[in-house]
Amino acid sequence: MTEKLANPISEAVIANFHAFEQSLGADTVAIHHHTRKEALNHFLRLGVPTTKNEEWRYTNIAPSLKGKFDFAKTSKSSNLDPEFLTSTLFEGIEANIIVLVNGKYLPYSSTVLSPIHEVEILALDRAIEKRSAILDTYYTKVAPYNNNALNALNTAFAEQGAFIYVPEGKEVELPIFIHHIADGTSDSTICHPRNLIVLGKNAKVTIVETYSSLGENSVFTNALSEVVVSEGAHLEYVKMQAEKGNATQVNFTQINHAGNSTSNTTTITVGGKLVRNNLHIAVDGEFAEANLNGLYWLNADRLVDNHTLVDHIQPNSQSNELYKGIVSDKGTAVFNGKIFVKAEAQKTNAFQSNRNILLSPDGTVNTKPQLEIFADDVRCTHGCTTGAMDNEPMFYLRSRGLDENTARAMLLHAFAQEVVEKINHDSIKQFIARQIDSLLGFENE
Amino acid sequence: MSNSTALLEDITSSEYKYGFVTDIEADEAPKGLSEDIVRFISAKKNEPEWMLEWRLKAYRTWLKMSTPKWANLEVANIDYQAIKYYSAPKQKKTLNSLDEIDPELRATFEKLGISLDEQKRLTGVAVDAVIDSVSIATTFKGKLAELGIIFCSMSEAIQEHPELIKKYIGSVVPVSDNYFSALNSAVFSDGSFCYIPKGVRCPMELSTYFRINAAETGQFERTLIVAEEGSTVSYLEGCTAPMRDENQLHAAVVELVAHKDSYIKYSTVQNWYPGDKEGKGGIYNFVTKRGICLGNHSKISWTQVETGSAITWKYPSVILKGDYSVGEFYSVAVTNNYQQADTGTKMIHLGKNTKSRIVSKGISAGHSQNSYRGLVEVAKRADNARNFSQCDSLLMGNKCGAHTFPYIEVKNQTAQVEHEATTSKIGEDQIFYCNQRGMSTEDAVALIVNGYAKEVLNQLPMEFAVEAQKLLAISLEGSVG
Repeated sequence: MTEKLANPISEAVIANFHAFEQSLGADTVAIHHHTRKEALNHFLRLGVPTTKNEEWRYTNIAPSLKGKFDFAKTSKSSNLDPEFLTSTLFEGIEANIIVLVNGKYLPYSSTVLSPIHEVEILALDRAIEKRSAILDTYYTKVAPYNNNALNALNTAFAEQGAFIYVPEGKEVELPIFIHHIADGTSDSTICHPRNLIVLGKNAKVTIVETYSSLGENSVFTNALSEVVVSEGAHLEYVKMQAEKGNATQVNFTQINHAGNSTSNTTTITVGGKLVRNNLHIAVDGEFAEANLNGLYWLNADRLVDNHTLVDHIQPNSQSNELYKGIVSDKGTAVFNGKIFVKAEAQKTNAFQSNRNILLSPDGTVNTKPQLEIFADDVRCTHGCTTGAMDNEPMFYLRSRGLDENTARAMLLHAFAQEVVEKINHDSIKQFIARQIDSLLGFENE
Repeated sequence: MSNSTALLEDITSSEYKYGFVTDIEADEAPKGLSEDIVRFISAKKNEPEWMLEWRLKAYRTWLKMSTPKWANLEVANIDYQAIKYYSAPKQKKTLNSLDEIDPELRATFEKLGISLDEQKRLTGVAVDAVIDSVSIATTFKGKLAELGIIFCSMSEAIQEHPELIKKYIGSVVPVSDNYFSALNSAVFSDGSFCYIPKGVRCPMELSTYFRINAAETGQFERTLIVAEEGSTVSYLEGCTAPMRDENQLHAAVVELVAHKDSYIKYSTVQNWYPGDKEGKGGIYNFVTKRGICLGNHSKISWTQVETGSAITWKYPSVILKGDYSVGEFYSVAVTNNYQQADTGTKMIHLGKNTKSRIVSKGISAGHSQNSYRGLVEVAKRADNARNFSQCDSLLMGNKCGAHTFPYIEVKNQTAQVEHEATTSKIGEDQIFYCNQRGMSTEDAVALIVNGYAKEVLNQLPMEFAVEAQKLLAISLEGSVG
């Protein structure tokens, strides 16, 4: 099965790789040619994961990758109206906005308001020239590509994305939006956006990634973000995925923590036909704290798969994880939350909770929490629940004269809001809450 | 701290007290596995043709399969050609009464604390004693037969009740279910068979005691329990083996069939030789246990206390097919030194209004690895299924590991599935409280661990609960990290 599905894809990848490299131009090729080549070989060796792979047991990615994509054309520029791209979505928000269409940076749609001494925001290919020292230290070093086929594919084809560098001790006042648009208006598209986010010591920043898609042709986004949170730094990180029902997304985020640093990551998935999020956090410093929150809403025959891994490497660190899901129609929700506690990581506190509401008889929830503990002086707990909506609150609201639909909308809103409330940034919180409410139809109920 | 290190050493050096070898003549098959060996075993047991065919089919299936690698275990390659697949103590052809058992064998079971003399038994427990490949004695047979209960060795059942065996063998655990079930189906040598007729409540505990004695042999037994409509049975299983430097393989299959309104309670105290403190030797325990609640309102309950074996690979499961059927799994798994355990359960909800409950307590000490792996599946038509799972792990020292792999797959919106797990060590404040009341740290640990495991131990029949508590104490006393 592996062979049959992997081969046509591999062939397409090989055929396009050379052309793609040519299109990059001489300089870029010289710098990263070796890495790309190596990554390509890893991808060919690993092959596209099948459901026989334990990590992909419930999610079959192969059909979304089959043959339709021209891997070489990832850099084709889109002829979209720049005004249209951002005006409606970010109305009334004062923020730095980076727009990436099919993984390509659109300078005329992007706005950078924060002063350069506070934060450096560049397209990744510009950063390769300007900030080669940082690139050399972190690029492909944070998220390895030798053990993950899709990371390898991203590394082989990655061209652009956002580079965000916050120097030591700086607090970035305005949030930074990275707005990804997968454009399938004229043709099927596969794109490989790649971000590198580096926070210096005691730096503080809020980053929001939004994903959306256009057009009727199928789009495949294989995004990868490498994030470094240095000593004492704080990262507020939100991902909002609201693509159309013909979009597939695989998203890999690796966050590396140093001592005393904190991160608060919120992943909200309300769109896309198939979305797979891999969030890996290495808590590699004493007194570091990682918070992971997630909300997924499923309808039609969509599938959302959240795989998280929190790796406690140093003692006295903490992690809190809350993922909640609402499944309706024929939706399928998948959750796998790994918590590793290494032998040296004594006094670790790790909490994980996964709660799912099944609204329809055809929905499916597959959840697999996973604790692997090698230290004894720790407190680790996980809990997960799956069930229909609780009857009692419903009864209470109905007894107060609310009709069934209103009552249900209120309860679901409350269920979802618990995750949204975890975002530590007021205007972002409101922005996200508005989005969710309009998508889920709570606002007028 | 030095005190606790001393205590830790104390426990690691504590002896496995069932490690003796009985010097009895044995009738053995040559080493290795082939169709001829399968035929040899079948011939030895004087089996009918259909049984031989079944075995050969299983053997051919096994040849096509490969060792499962998914478990969180490090298993050295097993050389299936270096194992003897049949070893039976030599004895007179047929026994007229229990008095005719070889005195050596009788002494062995006395040493293990299992009396084969019916009149000596104070409590009403009927025992089927299995040594290496064959059952040597079954007690209280006559008394049980009066009620229509069949309790005998598997070989006997194949001879005397072929219609029941034909109907049920392999019906719950198919031959091709996994690598070890296929191997077992090909070469199983004996085991217990138990049939409770309609409406009968078995008046005493039924028990099988398994003993590996001969060197370089594998033990492959098969247990089948069938409870007819409205019947109730409680079954116990115990096991020990001599101390040897090489690893020995134990691959058993247990099948339970519960018809309408029946109740099967299956308890295990597993104390195979765990290997020495360097991790040398010990039993590889690869067991497939599964029950099916066929009829409405039936119930299957598994209770296990796992303290032995170098490697344990075992997932007692329940298929909840009948409406309103209930599955339960209570487990305490203790690993010490270099032991590895990957154990848990599967609850497959198929019928409507089915309920299941999982309580798993893992305790790891030394350099051991202890994993819980479980599946709760609610099928599309299983309306109002209800599951509660709890798996707790206790760690002693930072050289051991505790792992949890719960899989939860829900396809029905009316299901209510809850899972919770915790991992921690024994609280210093709890120990302090006990110390301050004049208890030694060692006693305090024993008390706390006993309390921790109580929920499971309470499920065991009285005779076993005592043994299990002692085992826990021996395995863990003083191991305060």
